[in-house]
Amino acid sequence: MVNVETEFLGKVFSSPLVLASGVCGYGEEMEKFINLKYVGGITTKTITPYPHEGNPPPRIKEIPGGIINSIGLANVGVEKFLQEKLPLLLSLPLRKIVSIGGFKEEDFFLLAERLSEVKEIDFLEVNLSCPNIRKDILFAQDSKVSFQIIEGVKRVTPHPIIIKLSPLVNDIREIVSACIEAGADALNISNTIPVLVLDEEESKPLLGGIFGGLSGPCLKPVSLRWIYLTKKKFSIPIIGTGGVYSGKDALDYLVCGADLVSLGSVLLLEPSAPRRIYGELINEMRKRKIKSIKNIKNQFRL
Amino acid sequence: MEPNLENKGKIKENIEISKGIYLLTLQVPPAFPLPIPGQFIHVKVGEPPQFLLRRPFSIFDYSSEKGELRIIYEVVGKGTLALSKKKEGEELDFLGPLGNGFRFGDEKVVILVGGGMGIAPLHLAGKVAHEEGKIVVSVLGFRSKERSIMVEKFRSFSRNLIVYTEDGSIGERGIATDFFQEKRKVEELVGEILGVNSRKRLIEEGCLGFITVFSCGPRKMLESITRICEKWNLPCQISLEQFMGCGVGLCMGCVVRTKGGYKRVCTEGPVFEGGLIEW
Repeated sequence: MVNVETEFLGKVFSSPLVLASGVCGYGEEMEKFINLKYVGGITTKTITPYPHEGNPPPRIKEIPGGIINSIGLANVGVEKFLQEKLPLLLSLPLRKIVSIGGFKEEDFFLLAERLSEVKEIDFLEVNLSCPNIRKDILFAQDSKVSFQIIEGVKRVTPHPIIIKLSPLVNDIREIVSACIEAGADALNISNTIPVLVLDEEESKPLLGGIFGGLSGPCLKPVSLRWIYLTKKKFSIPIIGTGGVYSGKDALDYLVCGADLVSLGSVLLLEPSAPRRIYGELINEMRKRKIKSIKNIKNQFRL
Repeated sequence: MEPNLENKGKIKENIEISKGIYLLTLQVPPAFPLPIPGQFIHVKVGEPPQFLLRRPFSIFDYSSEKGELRIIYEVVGKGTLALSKKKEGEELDFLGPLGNGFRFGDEKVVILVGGGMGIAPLHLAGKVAHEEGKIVVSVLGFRSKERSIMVEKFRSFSRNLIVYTEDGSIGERGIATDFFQEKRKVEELVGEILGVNSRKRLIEEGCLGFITVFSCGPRKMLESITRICEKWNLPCQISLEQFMGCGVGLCMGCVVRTKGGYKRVCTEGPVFEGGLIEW
């Protein structure tokens, strides 16, 4: 018997699979699309203090090795989220992770404070690594800025916070060290890779927002390396994100040190992916005679 | 109950009807809902890591008796190339029917204006309009005779069928919007269709008030159709395309700019009121 129930920051997850931010809206009507039985948690679309319409189209395109997107934090804003989206989200039978983001440091403090009263939220995910808002340096590429945001958020929220990091950094351990010092409870490694892609005909930027974020299969080896290096040095819990398309992909993340595994781009192709990946993960564990998620961590840590 | 967004259908036929243009017939599952003209299906053309996003296709034709759905597509990239290689009997994974289709009202005459592959959603719209007793006028524009497709299909339900080609190799030389160059000619045609023959009565009875325009094709064409319809005070619905992610409204990928901000082609569209779009 394989048991995939696991614990993350003291809370039970019925499955180590969680839905990544950006591919499942705010959780509304999710049951219509995805069988939630196979996922332990859901991460909302990143919310900003005010409604934000996002970047000009085109916003998404498949390229060799991955998907590029430039949605640009399109979202309804925190007030509408609280009034219209949250009640449905809270009714879902899984852990709720609310992703918060912004264009300046104060945006994060405002959001953390505004969401602090909603006890049913399990975690805040602090998105420091959206590649589609600042065209030069991301928050998550600067350890000082990361520290300030996390410290400020921590000061105003009772919720445990997960820091969403960027894969495009010199040494992620420097950033992680600053995150931990500032009070981060967990990490999500990682986010899309900031990129520029040109079109076929005219060599003009393919995306309306010019730059984009690259996700999908090409991201997996990048995230795995950062998770491995981070877990060798720090014991902080990690959600692994990037290019999970199979149970074996999920297992690889757990083997490298992730505590939960997040599904993103795969849902765009296959809304029923959680069920398949859940089944495949159990099979992979069975084949290797692994009885529980904790077991993977103990037996197969590199 | 399992969410059943993903349908599986057997390919009954996938044939090249003109150079690089294919007609694909799918056997849909019994529980497949009756599609509204203008809706689309979101097709998984291949497996990851080679294929990571589905491709949206307007529903060209649907038969509820046979449980058959048809799409037409042109090979323009590796996704449509992969689709063109699929053989009869293979299973196709698709989501749908998705999106908002054409909305019928109490119009008596539906004018379909299609450019190139844009004729796809108009075919089902014309067929259904005809079945509902409306009079269908089809104005189709193609690059050349070789690129002109499905004209006979449109003829079967159209009271009037006008074909334009850019090189004049079939039908009239020009583009579909040329049909709307002279308001008077359109009024006369509609008057004749409705059995109103004096120009005075035509204006008095407001024949143009009985018309709705449905259009799909290149963006430039849709823009000029919209402007003409605005000028003539005709209701006009257009079907738009955009690179698409999830297809079900969650990822915010496929937006177009409208007078009310960005709207999702997959959810608020693909059919929009023409006047709503920011060109």
